[in-house]
Amino acid sequence: MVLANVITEKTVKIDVSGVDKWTLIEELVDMIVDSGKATDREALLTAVMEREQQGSTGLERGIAIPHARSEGVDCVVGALAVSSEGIDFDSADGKPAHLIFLIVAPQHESTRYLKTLSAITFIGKSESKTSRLISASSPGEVISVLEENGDPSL
Amino acid sequence: MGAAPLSKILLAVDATEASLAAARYGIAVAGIYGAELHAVYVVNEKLLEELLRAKVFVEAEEVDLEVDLEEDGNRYLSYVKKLARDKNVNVNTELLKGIVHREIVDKATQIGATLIIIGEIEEPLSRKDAFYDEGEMILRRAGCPVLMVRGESLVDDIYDSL
Repeated sequence: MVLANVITEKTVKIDVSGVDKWTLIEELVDMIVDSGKATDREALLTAVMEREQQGSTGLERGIAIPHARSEGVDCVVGALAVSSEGIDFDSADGKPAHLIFLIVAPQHESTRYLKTLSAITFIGKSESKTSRLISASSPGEVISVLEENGDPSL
Repeated sequence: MGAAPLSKILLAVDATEASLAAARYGIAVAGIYGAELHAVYVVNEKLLEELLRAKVFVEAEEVDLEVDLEEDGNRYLSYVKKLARDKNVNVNTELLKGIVHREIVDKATQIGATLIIIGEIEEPLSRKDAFYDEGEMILRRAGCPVLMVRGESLVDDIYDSL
């Protein structure tokens, strides 16, 4: 599964609450840096923040996908924040985001970048998968759900 | 007698390790049997359109991405050329844009391919997606035999031994 190759237990944070989206984005960037998958924290953070300033990456159905391309990483990498309470992300449907996927890729991995983003929008179509991710009790459980092959009901 | 089974091979290259393994296998087969080898990379316009519809991107990103997707494709095709050159095999490469399986199937028909080689098909995201996976669609729609390559270490042995 595309996402399980991009997001690992080290880059999953559950029970997120009480933060604004900008602070959360910075925390997600730091998770990627701490996992050893980023070579330039400042470049990464600047790229993601600039993209978010151009327009909110909060989509519908509780999903937000802050993203950017940056030479601060060598491959497609990601982090996920899970919030049952929800984070105000200026989302397209006006509702809070419960699954916030930060995805970053270098310029030369455009196709894999798009496939990763596409896989995330697919998650938003699955109520079952979304609710299981939101109610997961550990990063390991989140990864297990991400590793599953799709949603049989779709 | 018609065309020999392995006389003209079309490699379907995409941005996956699986398709590069398939390319190594295809190069080996072409080298061993003297097949005419073609490699095609299709820029997946459907993928980009889906993300645009979901409003994931702002306008500035769209323009950059279209250019970068073509550069991705050219990079992968250059790598396939190198893999072929390393084994003294000729390969004709072409970058196309559109719906992946349609472009591959049409190209195979156009050149009279006797075999299409694809990389391992990914697990489907859903039952519906299983019918829409590009690799599956090539299998269903091709007008010639299709070989899906699996077993990377075996592929590497075959390629390395050429």
